[in-house]
Amino acid sequence: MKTALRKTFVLGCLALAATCAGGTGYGQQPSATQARARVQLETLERLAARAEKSVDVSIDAGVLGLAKGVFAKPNDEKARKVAEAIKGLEGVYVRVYEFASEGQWGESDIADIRRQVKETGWSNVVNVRNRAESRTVEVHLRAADGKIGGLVVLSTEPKQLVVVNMIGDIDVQKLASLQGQFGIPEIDLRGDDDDDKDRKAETKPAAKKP
Amino acid sequence: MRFRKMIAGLAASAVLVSALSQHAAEARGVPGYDAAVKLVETYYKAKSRGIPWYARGAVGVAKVVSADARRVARYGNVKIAVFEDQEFTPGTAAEFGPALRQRLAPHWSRLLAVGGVEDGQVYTFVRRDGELFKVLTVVIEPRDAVVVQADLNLEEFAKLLANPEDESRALTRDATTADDK
Repeated sequence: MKTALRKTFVLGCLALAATCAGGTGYGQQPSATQARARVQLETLERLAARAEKSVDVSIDAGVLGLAKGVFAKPNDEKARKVAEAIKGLEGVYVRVYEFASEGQWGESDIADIRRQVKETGWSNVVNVRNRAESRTVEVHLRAADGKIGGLVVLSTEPKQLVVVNMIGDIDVQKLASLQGQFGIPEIDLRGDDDDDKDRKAETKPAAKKP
Repeated sequence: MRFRKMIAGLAASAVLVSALSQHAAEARGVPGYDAAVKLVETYYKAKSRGIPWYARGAVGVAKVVSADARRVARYGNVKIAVFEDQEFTPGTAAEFGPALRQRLAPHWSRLLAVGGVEDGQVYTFVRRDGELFKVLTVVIEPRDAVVVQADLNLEEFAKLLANPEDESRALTRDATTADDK
């Protein structure tokens, strides 16, 4: 009889654990870090009506939690790099707006984003300006407790606007491996000086690829 | 004494089983494919054609082909509704997207929302279901619309996360078009 009771108790505990486990994941509350580094992007939604194309990718902590397991494949080098890059990530939010002509969006449309990344705790760490193409890229970081709490990439072109908000402890060195993943577009970080370098490089013979 | 313990143990188990059953019942009641189809029908006043996975050849929209075996391996438990040659005014995307999101909340997480003059609207929602990942994609184009719900394995889910727009379109394309191979 004792064995039966023990079995019943163990089964009960397992069932309770399963029930509790079922309640986590998608219903996760945002951590304090996430709450601080999450930028409100709702004001951008009005641009969708003016844009020729709008893309809104939202990967919250629950979905990202699933992704971490998926990308941690031991045999796939690219997947491993992505897994490394997203190790501390808690969310990825991407907004891309493409316009048919210039003048469809203005500074007032991104004023609220700028206001948020100027608040205490945020630092503007990258500023790329390419006057020839009227293109700018800004990277704003939020540091908390000696760790990166999140970042915002704001990329503007006359006919395109890209806002990427990543939340969590991000390894900036590995960010490049996330371009092209999770809906994050390739962002050209070449500025005016780099273009000059490129123009000089064009006169030299191309290096052989290994 | 032993009898009381046994009764108490059984009662505890019964409570847990009941809780689990309620959880399962809630899962059964999760809005998904049906809710999305209904919304497209009511919002755009359109009529859909549900296409059973293995009977698509009969309706002429898509043929059952040899590649179906491969697709079934990629996507399980597929449900498809096709709206053909009907009016889907693209200008209503600003209202339809939030309405769909509201219908599926809080059970589904929105992964993707695309709005485009030429590309139409694409909405993708995801939800964990045990070992599988349920994906619900709605594509609205000026004259056609498709609602697809499918179960993805880990590998397919990884592809979807890596490239949400292309993979969402691939899912609806694979589900509704014939493969000539």
